[in-house]
Amino acid sequence: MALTIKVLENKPRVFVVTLAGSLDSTTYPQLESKLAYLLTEGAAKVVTLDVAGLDFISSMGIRVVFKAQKDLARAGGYLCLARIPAPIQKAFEIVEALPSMQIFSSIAEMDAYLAKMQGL
Amino acid sequence: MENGIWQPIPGMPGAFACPYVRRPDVLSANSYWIEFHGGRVLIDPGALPAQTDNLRRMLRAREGNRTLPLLICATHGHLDHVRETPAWLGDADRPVWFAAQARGARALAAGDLRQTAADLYGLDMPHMPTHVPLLTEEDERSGAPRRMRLGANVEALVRTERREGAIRQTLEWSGGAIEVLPCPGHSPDHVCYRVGDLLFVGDLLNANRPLVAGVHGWNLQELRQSLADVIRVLETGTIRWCCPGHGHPLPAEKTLDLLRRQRDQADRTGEIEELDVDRLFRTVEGALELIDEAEETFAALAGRLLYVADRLDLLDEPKLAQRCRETLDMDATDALLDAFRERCQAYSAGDVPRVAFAIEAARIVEKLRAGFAPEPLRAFLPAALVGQAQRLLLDFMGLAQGVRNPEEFVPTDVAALVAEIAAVWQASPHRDGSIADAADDPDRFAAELARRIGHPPLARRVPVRFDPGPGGPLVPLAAARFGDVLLPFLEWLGLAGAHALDVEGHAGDMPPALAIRTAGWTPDDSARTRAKLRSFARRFALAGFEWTVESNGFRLACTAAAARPR
Repeated sequence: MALTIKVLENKPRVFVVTLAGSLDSTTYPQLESKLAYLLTEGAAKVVTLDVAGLDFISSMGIRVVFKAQKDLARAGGYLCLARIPAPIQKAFEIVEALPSMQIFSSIAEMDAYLAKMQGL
Repeated sequence: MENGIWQPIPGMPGAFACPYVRRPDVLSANSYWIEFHGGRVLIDPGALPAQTDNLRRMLRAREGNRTLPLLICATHGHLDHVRETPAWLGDADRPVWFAAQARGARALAAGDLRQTAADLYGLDMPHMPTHVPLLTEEDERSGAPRRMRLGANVEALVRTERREGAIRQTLEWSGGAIEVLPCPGHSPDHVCYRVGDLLFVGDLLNANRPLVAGVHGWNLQELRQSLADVIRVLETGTIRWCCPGHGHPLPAEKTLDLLRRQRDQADRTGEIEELDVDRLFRTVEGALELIDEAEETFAALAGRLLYVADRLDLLDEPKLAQRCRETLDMDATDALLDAFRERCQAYSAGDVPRVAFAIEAARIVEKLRAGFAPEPLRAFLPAALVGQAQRLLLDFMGLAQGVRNPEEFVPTDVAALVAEIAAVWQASPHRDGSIADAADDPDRFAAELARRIGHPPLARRVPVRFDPGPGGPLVPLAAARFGDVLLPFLEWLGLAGAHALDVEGHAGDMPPALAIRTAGWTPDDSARTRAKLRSFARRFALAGFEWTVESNGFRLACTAAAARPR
């Protein structure tokens, strides 16, 4: 199954990356390179992954999420996750990885959070 | 060699042999018939009346109307080899005499329970006379030939010589010759017999096995020498078959291989505690305790491995999942544990003698240990859980083998020990950042994921505070073992309902101690909790700590006595 990636620069250096389909061992390089691009070319400080459209995430997909979290942290930024569907939630629960990330349950919550972002 | 068949003895024209090989156990040894022109020899009549009946049937079928005198030759005086001798000595159909090594002969004449190992079987030992003593002190001193008149027309001639530094004796009897090789070690009176190209090796092949090594009179130095002697004999290539007291006859090459392995093992063997009735009792108790703990621990290992593998499958890591499943052969482990449980039940029902049960338990646990590879398991599961399983098996084998292990105890500062365990606790794969650290490398990340899945995230659920406290004197402790007990104990307390745990070092106390404070938990009175606490208390004791239950937790006090051999 394919992965579609849409990127929206919500405000300068604040990006929302909307994912749909399958983030698996075949498709993860697309997201990895897209996130690397946002970090280097877009000087991203905050990236929110909106994963509502994801059907599946593999270990390599989780790795890309953690790598983005780590790379953003190095640059003084951070990664958020938004609208996590049940199968994806379960995958993260398996590795008990969610508590250390900012998570939004809805677009409205995410927008409200991002609207507060100052001085980025 | 075919069992139950009379067959020509290679290297000795006109002589025949017939093995009576039993399913191997410790209740009775194999017997072997030898037939010379004018008489027969029975090597080791065994210990069971049913065996005597069978041997008599074989003899009657062989001799028809032509009875011949019979000489019984003991490889050594242990009960399982000779207890039926008196049943033959009273034979009305033929004259019967008995030959045994001189020292064994004295023990058999006295019915000595320890030297004949009868005490381990809980049986009495009939007094029995030896008509042809072998390898007497006088033989060794003078080397003069000894002729013994046994009956009207029956005599035995014993010749002694020294060959290549070793004493060799030849017993001439009824037209045949039996070479006697002194092979002490398993017991002081143990000999091997050579007839033609056959070598009857008694218990030499088993002498270093658990619950055989250490039996009264066992001597490692003598055993090493005997192994070297017999290896030298076999290396000459003049022996074709070796006939053991337990198990099937083996070609000489195979025996040589086994003896060389045993020699190497003997070279690595340290001090062995004597196998007496007390150690046998302790081994049996250990086996009965082990089965419950082993079932529980291996179920935990297997369950967690399956959990990790299933989760890895869900995360699209099929190869890693497969590797995880293959780290423990669960079917083989289950089969061994089932067999162990069945043996425990049979023993408890009185169907299996104590010594037989102990040896069977040791055999099963040896197999469990052989199939248990801790290193691959540690890639998926907490080291403490893997260590717990490993120590369960090793502790029992240590008990069964009578191996003392004081080197495990090293001078340790309790404060440093608490700090070390705290560091292990902090290194939990669940700490924030551990998984992100590995995110740059796909393989490392997958391995870290697997480790994270396999470790219960107790550090998150139950706060544990470690306070090493000020340093103190060095006391002998099994530090690595202690860590393997303390961490599962903290886990267990967390799962049992403790809200928070404090581990405090009191290295300056006399004796140095640790306190484990539990918040929100006190032990209930259920049988399960009591058994669990007993098990932890025993395991802490093996690490050098004696515990007392206090109102708000536990106090573990170092006991220097634990450093002494068990």
